[in-house]
Amino acid sequence: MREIGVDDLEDLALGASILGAGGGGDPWIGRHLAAKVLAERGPVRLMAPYELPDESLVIPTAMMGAPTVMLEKVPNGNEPYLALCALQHHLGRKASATMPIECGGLNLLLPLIAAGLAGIPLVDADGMGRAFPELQMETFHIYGVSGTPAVLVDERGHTCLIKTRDNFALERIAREVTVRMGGAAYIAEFPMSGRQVKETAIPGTVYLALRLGQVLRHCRTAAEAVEAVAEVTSNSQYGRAVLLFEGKLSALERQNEGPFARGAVSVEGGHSCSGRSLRVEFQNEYLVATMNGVLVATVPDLIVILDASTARPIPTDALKVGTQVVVMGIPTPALMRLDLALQVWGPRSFGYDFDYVPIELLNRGTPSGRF
Amino acid sequence: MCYTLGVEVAPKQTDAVVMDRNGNLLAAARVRTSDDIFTGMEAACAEVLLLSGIRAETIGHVMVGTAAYFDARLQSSLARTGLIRLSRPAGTGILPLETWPKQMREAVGDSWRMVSGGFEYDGRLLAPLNLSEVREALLDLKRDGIKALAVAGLFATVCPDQELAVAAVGREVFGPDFPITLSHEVGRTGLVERENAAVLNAALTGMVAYLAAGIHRALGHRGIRAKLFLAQNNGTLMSFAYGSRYPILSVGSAPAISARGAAFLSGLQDCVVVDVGSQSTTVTLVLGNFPRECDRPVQLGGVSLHVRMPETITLPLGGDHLAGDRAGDGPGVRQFQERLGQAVDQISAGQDYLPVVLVGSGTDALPERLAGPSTPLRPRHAYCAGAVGLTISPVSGEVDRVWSLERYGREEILNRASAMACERAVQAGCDPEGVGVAEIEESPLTYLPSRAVRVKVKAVGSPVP
Repeated sequence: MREIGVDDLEDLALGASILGAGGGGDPWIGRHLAAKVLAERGPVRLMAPYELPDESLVIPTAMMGAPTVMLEKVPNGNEPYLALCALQHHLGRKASATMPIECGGLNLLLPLIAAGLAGIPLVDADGMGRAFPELQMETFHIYGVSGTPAVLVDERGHTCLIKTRDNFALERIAREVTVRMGGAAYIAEFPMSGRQVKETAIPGTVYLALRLGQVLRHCRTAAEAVEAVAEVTSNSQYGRAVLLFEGKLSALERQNEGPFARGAVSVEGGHSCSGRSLRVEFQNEYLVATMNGVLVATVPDLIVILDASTARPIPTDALKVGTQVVVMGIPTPALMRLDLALQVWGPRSFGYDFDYVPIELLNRGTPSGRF
Repeated sequence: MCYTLGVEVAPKQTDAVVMDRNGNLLAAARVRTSDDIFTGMEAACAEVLLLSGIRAETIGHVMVGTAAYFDARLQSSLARTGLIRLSRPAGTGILPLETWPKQMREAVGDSWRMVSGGFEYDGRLLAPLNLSEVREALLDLKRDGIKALAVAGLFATVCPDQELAVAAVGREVFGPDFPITLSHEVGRTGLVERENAAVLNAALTGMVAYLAAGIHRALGHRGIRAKLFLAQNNGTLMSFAYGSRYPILSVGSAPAISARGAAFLSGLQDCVVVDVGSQSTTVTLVLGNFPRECDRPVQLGGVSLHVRMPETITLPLGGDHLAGDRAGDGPGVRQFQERLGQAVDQISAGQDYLPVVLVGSGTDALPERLAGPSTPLRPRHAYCAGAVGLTISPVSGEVDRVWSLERYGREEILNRASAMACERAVQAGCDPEGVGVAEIEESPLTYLPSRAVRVKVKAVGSPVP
């Protein structure tokens, strides 16, 4: 039986920041709040999907909005639990477990609060396999689970119940409510049965994040980090992580139009990549990487930029020109690459005019194509 | 009025140097640091005046660095401080001072109150301020016997109005000269770290005032009536008056001034500076004459804050560990060389090869040839690199705030922020003529549909003549 205790949180947060692919938010406050709950209530049981009875109720919990707002408007510490309770109340049933909707970033840690305070396990699975910006970007949605009824709560105790006819409407409406609530809200959504979890969730991602954090902790150089991450991911449903590029951040563009922070960063090649240049485009998370105009990686495959001197991932909102970096790619699980899934989070969903090509194929025959 | 005096106080020794307008080092003097520090400073100044042969009246500026001395004395320099957090109904998940080590919390007295207040990220009101609740809270803190006050409001970096209103009530309750620090003046977005910075700043206010008075006296005894400046964490300077309001800007200044001095003495704009002390060694990367800054929160006495400090690697090995190994092949030296090599590699990760400059009082204990790709530089006067760094630095002011793109366009935001930074620099003692923007950094608040951007501007210029 696996458990998540206070001592695991640092590793979990570090692994979550890798899986965040540049986004997901700074996990430190979520970690601190989860630590308080775990210290008070004891470790949370991590339950594999196959252990869930088919007819049990699972209610995923998370935060939505800007993690930076959460860093400033520090919550009271029980908001994810309050969202869970409000949805349980509406459904007239208690949940047997909660689950992350997103294993990248802050949202891997927040459900621990709901789990700890409710005294229920956390399911070792999630619906994104990384971080994504929108609520319908879930395997749950892709494979037919409704996101509503859903509940949003804020720090003031305001509660909003949402029922929509489709999950795109859920994203639009919930996003507006989140803005009105002050930019950050705590959500319970995609209530589903144990059977639906087994059929639609990406299994094992919480434990994967934990293992990633455990190996990364000892890495002092980015090269060591890529090797360590590769060892872990090649022993999971993800593919073997690879070094895509290394060099120095040479230019940064940010466009503040539209709802999400789009932009691009250029990396001037150094060492083995001298003379070449990589461009990574992002919208909260890194989405597309091209080398001298040729595609080398695209969403949903994970693109991670590591700071060469600390071996730690750099989120999109902390990029600084002049930093020495190493760019790493991680192939996503097959479940995330099926056509139905690509319709929701392939490059075309982010406005690109090309189709997804697996990172292994894009890099076959190149120095980094050591798949 | 054409000479600049640089005085650095470290735990064991006090250095004084005299520089002329053209960057020539005229003389350097070193004395043992006195118990009251001022006697030692006076003695160092007297000696360096003698050595340089210049008259006291010709000194226009005295630049002082005391962070190295106070590093080990941080806890005992803290006054009993109260905090008012403006955040209810939110914010109770992490209580004020909750993340502080126990001894630091006890040193400031753990006196705080959380009251109604705060803004949203776009400047909308989160909760109104209740002035009678505020007054009650302040009276409570007064009964606790606090000697300084810090105020931290949710999103005060977007709208400082509530913090300013609380300060006004604070002046009524405690008196017009009571030290009050408002978080929006000392920190950036991130309530817990900004609140920590505000508390530490308030707790240290008295110390800088005490320093200023003592230094004035000490210099006065020697006939020096120059303008006084204090080192900042980022290697620039500020007036003592400004430093008394923002001591937090100075507590971590030792590595930066030493790094700048080392770069100057070796004539290099880009280098890795290795400052060997008696007990520890600090490694800093200098690019374009300034140390590379760390954008992550730093720890001061175990308390996490977002204060811009140089990125350094500290090794717990120094001159004392190498003493007596003249041949340079003992295990102590080999261990030092290995650890140092790793640290230099790490801090200059991926940069093209950079020369290493050795400074600090412990360098004498190092063998002539240190293993490595080339011989590190040991410039003349390396032992007083810190004092030298003080004399060659500009004055700076910084502004770090969140702006709503709904209210202002991007161009207007950058202009306003730049103007604020220049104003800050002038307040810090910069000559209004020639003050200019040195650095602008913008970063968006991610995942937010309504647009806001964080803008950080640094303005620099020469000290006011």
